[in-house]
Amino acid sequence: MQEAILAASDQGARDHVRGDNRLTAEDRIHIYARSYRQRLVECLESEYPLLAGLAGPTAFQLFAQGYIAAYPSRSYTLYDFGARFADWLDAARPPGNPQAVEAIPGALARIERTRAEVHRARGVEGAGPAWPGIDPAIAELLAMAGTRRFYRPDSMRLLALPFDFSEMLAGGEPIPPRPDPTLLAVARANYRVSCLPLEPWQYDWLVLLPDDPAQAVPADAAVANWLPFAVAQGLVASV
Amino acid sequence: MTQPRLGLPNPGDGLGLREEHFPHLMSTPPENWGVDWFEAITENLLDNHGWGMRVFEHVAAHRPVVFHGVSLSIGSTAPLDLAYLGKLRDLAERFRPLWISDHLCWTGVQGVNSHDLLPLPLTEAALAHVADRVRAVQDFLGRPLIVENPSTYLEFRASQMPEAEFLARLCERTGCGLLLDVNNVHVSSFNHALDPLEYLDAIPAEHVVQVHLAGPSDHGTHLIDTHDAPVPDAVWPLYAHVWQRCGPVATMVEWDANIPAFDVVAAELAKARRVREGLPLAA
Repeated sequence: MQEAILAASDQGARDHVRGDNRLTAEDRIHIYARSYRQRLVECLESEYPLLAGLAGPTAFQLFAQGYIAAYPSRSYTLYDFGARFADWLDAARPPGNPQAVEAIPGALARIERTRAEVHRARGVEGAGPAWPGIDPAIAELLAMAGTRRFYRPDSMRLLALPFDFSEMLAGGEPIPPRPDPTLLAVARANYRVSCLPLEPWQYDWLVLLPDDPAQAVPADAAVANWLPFAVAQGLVASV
Repeated sequence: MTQPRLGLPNPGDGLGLREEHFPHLMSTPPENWGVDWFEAITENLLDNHGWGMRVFEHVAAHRPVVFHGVSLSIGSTAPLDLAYLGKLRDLAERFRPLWISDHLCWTGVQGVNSHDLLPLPLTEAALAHVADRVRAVQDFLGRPLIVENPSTYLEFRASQMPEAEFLARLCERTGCGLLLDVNNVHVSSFNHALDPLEYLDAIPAEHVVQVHLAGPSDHGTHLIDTHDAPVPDAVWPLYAHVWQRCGPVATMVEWDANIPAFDVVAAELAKARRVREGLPLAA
């Protein structure tokens, strides 16, 4: 029966399934087959709304149906289903120029998947601010004095992309991106997820931060000015 | 003799916890929710450390909660997913739900999850198989499993007994409870041209721990359990019949697509109260 549903095939249905004058055995198998695809397509549409908007319904359906066939769900949760969508889109496009228009779906899917993961990731909400109500200048001094050590929370992910999606991300509208390499942090603060552009030095510092609070490190003096912002946006956490 | 509801409490009238209602629940004082308890989809809580979990913590701090799963796959021939069950047990230890339910179905084999509630051939062999698995799950969780009757769109030629008999014998063999989804009885009875009252009368009343109500979609030749509409008129007399046989019992309205405002869903519960009191649906 599973093969019949996944492949939308009704071969042999009458041998196993009862039909009647309202619905044949084949009709009844197809109810499950349609429902299977519809549920997974809706799952992808819900997780990738910007890509669905940018690609349009016909192209997105093609993407979704191809992905469903290639990677049927193997998890107890639908939250895992879309995890490989960006990789699949990248693998399905012609190889070559990373800034070709065909590379846009994979890059955008990577952002949307990361946002979905950050929504559910273990965050730092409830841990309290690193320096509650403190002046940023004093915060800088504290950081330089090494009184705090920092780590990268699971609710912050880094992306290096061949396109600049900032207009799309700011307005939530499917505006085509510019072919400019972009460094991005997807981070959660107070349960709100943001996509924040990064300077190369900020990205490099965050990449090197440990993700385990037990291995937190003192701040680099070069990032001290930026730390209050980074903490407030959920880019780093302190112990 | 088995105690009513297996000795489990009747928390009253509940709703399914849905993301669309998070803003309402977080901005409304709990004393004004107008709902006695909440049912959370188990898979929405597992591995979730975000806003959904924060809202659930708030809800669970103010109301009794139950867990309702869709991926246990109790009817599958694949081995039980012990990683899933381990996470479910940890979650239950943390939140102490009144009970844990899932469906009489299978969701996939060979590692695939269709995320659908697929029907079983209702045979003696399937009954023995499901009973073994229910017992294993109950031993693992340390509590009775509450099993829901699914909506079905096909019946197997190999089936040897009606679904209600299968469930009754499953209860007898395992001591499990039942989540009697009255809408599912309506949907399956329509789809297979069966008598819903006959189905309900074959259910062992003392095992019914919870009742589901929901609205299906009508496709002319068949009904689909879409949970996207008010409870249809045809379901209310069935609910009244269930209440007479099994009540008082926890009653819950499910609404999972085209979800309206919280008050609209809660109004379906008010209808359930009127039905129990023998009043017309409209005030």
